[in-house]
Amino acid sequence: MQIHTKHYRISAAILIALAAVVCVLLSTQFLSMREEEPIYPGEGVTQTRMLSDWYPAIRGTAGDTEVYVLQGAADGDSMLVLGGTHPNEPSGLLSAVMLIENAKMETGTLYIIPRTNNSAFTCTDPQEGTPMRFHISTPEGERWFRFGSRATNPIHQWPDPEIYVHASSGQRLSGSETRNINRSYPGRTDGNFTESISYAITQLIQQEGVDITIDLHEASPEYPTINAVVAHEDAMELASWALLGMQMEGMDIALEPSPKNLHGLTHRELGDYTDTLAVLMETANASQGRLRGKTDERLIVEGKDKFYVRAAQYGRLYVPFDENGHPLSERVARHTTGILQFAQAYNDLGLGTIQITGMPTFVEMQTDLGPYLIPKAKN
Amino acid sequence: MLYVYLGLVLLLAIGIIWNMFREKDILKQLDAALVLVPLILRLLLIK
Ligand SMILES: [Zn+2]
Repeated sequence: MQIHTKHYRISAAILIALAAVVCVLLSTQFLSMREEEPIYPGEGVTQTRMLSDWYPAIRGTAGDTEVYVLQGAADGDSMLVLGGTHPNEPSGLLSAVMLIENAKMETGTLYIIPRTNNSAFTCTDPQEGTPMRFHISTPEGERWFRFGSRATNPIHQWPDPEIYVHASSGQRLSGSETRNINRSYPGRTDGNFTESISYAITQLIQQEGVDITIDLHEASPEYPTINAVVAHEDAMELASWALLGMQMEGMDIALEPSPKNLHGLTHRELGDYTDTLAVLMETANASQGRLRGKTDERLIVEGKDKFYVRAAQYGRLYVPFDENGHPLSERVARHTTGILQFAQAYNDLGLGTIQITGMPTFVEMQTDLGPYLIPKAKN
Repeated sequence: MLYVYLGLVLLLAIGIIWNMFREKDILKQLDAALVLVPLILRLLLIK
């Protein structure tokens, strides 16, 4: 069909003006993703630093991000918690926030990076229809958090190559993985934006001599590695011991060895390139799954989905999934309890001393995160 | 590298706008206007 007009120059001008209006409307939405959700450091936080302190080349870039340091009164060993490696896996960010706002160190030092891939918090994944934000209600009002993308925002690293070649191993992956920070470790100085961020994290671990590194993730309920700990071979003994502790807390969880031929991941490269004991934890997140139905804030926070209930009935999932779903509170309870159990196992095995206190119990967190995320006045 | 690609995007956007003022079929003009939106957003590094 064709509609010819004599006033084609006027219609062109009008349409361009309309396109400009659409751009302005969309921009306000997209740019709102660059506002950071407030985090209120608890009394356990002794210092708030930036990741660029360990690798100054990233200072001022979209990848530079806060590192919360909780230093105990007594000297001990150290642990690094990575939340927000994949910002579409919200239990990582929330678990990090729970620690920043509640944990106290008796002995040793805890480093927490809530937004490991800070750039990936500034956009959502195309064609997923995920909300940009979700809310948690607390006794003193609502808190908001961003639901971001799995990978670095393309405006910070673009274009993607056809094939992503992991620098130190030569492993070849699909081009979009070039923006996945958990395929970029140990990182490098002359690589892309994402590799410079992972390099900064590797530097933090090396310079501070971090003893344990825990990377927090979530997976789709139909993905085999779920409700699991993945451990580098050097961290296997620690992980097995921690796993017993988690099971004593009532958590159903499995332990998997980090595959030797899968490169760029924290539990492989940080274990290989540094002296840290590298582990990763996964919980079940329906809002990133392929089988999910309506994708809204409720799915993120409550984790209920009737299609997953049906998939579970067909035996297609790797986690139990009933009408109660897997709420964010349960997923955060699993991650934070796991972190506490890693510290406990480290002490029990006589590897050193890391004592974390101040955290609510598994059941308390599972019931409701609100009471532990009360917004405080910023000072 | 980013700036090379942004240069290409700019060139494409200018070409589209140029052609919109020559195109007499309003539906094709509309198509062009739709194509402009993502190009402008990328050019301004918004999306
Ligand atoms: Zn992940």
